[in-house]
Amino acid sequence: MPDASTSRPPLPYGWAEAFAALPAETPPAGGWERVAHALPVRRRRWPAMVALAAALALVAVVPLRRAVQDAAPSAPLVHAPATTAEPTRAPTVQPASAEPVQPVQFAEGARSGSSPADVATRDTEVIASVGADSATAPAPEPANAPAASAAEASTQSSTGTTNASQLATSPASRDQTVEPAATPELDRLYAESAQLESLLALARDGGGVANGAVAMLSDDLATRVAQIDAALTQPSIGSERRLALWRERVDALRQAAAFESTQRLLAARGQQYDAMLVSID
Amino acid sequence: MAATSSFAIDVPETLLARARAGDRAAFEQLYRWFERPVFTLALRICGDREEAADVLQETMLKVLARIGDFRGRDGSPFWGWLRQVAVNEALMRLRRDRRNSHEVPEDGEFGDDLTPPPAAAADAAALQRALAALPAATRSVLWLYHAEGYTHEEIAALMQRTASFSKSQLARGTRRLRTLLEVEVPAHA
Repeated sequence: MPDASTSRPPLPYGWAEAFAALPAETPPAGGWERVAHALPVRRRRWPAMVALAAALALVAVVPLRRAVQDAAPSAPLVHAPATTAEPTRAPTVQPASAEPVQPVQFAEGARSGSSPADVATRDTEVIASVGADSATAPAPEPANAPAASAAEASTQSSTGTTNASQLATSPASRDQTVEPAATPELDRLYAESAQLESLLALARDGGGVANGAVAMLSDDLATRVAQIDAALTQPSIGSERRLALWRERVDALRQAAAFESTQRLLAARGQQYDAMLVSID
Repeated sequence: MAATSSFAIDVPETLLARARAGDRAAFEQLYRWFERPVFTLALRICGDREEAADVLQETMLKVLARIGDFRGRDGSPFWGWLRQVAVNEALMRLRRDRRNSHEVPEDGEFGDDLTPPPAAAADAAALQRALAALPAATRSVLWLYHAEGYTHEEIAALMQRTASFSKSQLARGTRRLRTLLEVEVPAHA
């Protein structure tokens, strides 16, 4: 019987080439979807990411807004700060309607004593409590507390971040010597301060463990704000000095917000803030 | 002369860095690049498409989960590491499944078959059928040696056998493969 295979010459190459010439097999469809589904899910913290985005947006937008306002000082001021600052006003406190609102988180560090109303509204992280020297701050005056109590209740239910009773007891509100010309800018600073503090509270929510360098930087910023708050409690403070202090306060808060935002961004990328310690002789 | 492995794909370091950082898009790109080489290797070793699909999935999961550990020491490429994981996974399943762990009986004949393959080996379908007819362990040795370029010592280590086993399986398997192909030719002539 003739063998057909012997009638054909063998291949001019070896088994390796013959195997390599075989077409690659195609796996069943949907393989990647199954693998992707089975991959360990990286922990996503959407609230933190949203807070980060909001903080970044604010840090970028607020200076622009300030620049626009500075560029048009003669324009009529519309007494309408940002929405987050609105609940900080107590409508029943007549003299304070144009007066500053002391945001609760940072103002805590400037106060040595707390009224029951103050304690009730503490539901967010208090930055200044770390570095504030409470022994030097005066006790709040309860004189206006009844007048503010009604507004306090509504404020607590709306945001939970601002204490309306502080409207009457905060250092800024006690100062009745603020000149009318400075009031619009103070209003803007109060509103911006409240916004930044709200964002900081969000960004720091569930912050977890920080390394030493991060904790030190964060603490420094908090201490700076606390010192400003302490200075604002001084009864003899003038309007110019008050305005300057509030500007410093907002600036410090901006830095804190930017720092926290950077922290969140690095954490979302699986990185961390590494401050290098150097020795300079 | 061993042909270039189908795994031999140079992966950019930037893509690896993204994958190490947990970038899903980078994961998918790596998967798309290597799914066919891994599946082909697994199918050659296991001989079953369903099992090969499982090997592909497990291999990719292991690689993507441990990609942070890959450092490419001594210039070893990423694809070499991935192939090693795939081979281990496929051979582990082969050992687990005793039905497919048969091999051509050793006869102590280690002589290399230097004769060129028969003409029928150029027919991809015929060669695939002939390979599929071999015992799984024998087919694995042939594939690892000829297609992937492993040495007998490496194959012995991978299969947890001896180098003699690898040589014997290669010699016997090649002869069997040649026979299968030569018999098949008249059917297609």
